[in-house]
Amino acid sequence: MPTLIPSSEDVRVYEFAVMVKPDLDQKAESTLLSEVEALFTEASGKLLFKDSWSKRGLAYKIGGYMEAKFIIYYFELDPSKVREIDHQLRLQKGVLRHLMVIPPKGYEAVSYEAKYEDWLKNRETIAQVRTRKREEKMQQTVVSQAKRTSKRLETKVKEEVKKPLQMHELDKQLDKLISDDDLKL
Amino acid sequence: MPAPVQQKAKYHEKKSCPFDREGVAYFDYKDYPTLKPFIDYFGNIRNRYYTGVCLKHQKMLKNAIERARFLGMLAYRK
Repeated sequence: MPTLIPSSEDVRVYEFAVMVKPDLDQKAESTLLSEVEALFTEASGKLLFKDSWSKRGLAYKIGGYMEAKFIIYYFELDPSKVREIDHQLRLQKGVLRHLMVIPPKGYEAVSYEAKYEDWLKNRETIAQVRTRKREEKMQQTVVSQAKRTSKRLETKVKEEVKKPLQMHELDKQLDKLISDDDLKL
Repeated sequence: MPAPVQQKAKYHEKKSCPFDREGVAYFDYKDYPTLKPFIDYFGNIRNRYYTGVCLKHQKMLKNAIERARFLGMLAYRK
């Protein structure tokens, strides 16, 4: 995957995410994409990386569709021409929505679709998460209980050691007091 | 008269930011798996009090989540 570095100081790297209708046939889709790409080439943009995703479910309805296709372009463009492209994309039929983002310096373009699909396969179900959390909690309680009992035992041992000593000393002190001659009771 | 002893409130343990440890510099709105845990059941962004994210990363997260919402990858409201 390429790291995106602009070739000269006059241009910047832009990321365009284009959301395309899902029910277009292949021919219509290819013509649409060529039209979209023509917008960039007209503005003398240079394609750095293209990432087209397959059909993907949406979280809510957009333009009456619950599914859409995403195509992500990374273009090198003159900043003054971006506004026009943004406007043209909005007018383009077949494009549901688009988003323009300036990626940070040294951004590495990565295809996120594979990552997403991998995650969909390997993610934990809600029940698995619940059992895992319960087990973690159990382990924590066991550890804290063990700590508490060990502390209690330690304090008990200390007290047992202390008590006879104190009694012994008390006896001695009492003897001293009693044996004192000045004491008048 | 001695001053009354003030009872100390129990402070909650401050969690360390998971992104500070890794040194994350940018959140991608296309990266669904990393954004997902910071969204609750209703689609709201989780408070950083609960997730432990630092303010800098919370702001970046918010930015990415709002972009993802615009493109229908995340829900505004469930």
